[in-house]
Amino acid sequence: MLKDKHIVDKYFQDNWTGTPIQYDGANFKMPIDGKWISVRLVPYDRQSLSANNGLKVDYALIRVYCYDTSVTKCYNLAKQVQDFLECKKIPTDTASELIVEVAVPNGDGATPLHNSIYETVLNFTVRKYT
Amino acid sequence: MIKIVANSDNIIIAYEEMTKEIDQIIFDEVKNLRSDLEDIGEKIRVTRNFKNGIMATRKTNYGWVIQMKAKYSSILWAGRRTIGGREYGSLGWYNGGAPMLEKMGNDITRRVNDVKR
Repeated sequence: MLKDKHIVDKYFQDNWTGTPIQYDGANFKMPIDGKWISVRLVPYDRQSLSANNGLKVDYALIRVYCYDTSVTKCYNLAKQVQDFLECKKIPTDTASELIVEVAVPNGDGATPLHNSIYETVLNFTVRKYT
Repeated sequence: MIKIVANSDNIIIAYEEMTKEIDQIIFDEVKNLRSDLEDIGEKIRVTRNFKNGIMATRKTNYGWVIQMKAKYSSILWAGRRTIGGREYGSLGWYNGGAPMLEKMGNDITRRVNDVKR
């Protein structure tokens, strides 16, 4: 899954141009305009599809934290992220690809944090068949 | 000799049995989730209210509800993160609640599919 984290990070790095990106476990300086996204990959399940031929499916969540200076701006940013990632297939260096499902909001709306920063979280379920 | 009659009564009984079993599966998984949340409540140092703030599990018309009234529970639910040099969430619950819910969804689907077979 570490490899998958690098793949997701690289996908954002190469294709997302809207805001700076904070990657999980990397140093990051908050931008002055208070607008950025933070990306995290969380593996949560693994399942055998067939005992005979060893087909497996890995499940993970791509969690994208969207930050901006107002609730409206925060939702707009979340909408951009949704359009960017939803229902996409992220290629890997092997035959299997990361299949991204629809975005699910965290259910808390936009949460106010310090310095007038608002946060909203989108969760994307990802499947990988190997 | 055994004679098997498939009539509407049999089908209704089978359907009711299956529905009961599925309800039981969902209830089991809700109980598991609640117990996982209580375990996490033990680990979280930010606020000890978290564990005590988990209210009684109840069933509504829309499904099962586990409500957390602890202050900051929505911050904790989103996981541990650093925002502008400040830490939010708890190290004891780094990834927050969403992966647990997803896992519960997968487990329910898996078990319900077994019942259908």
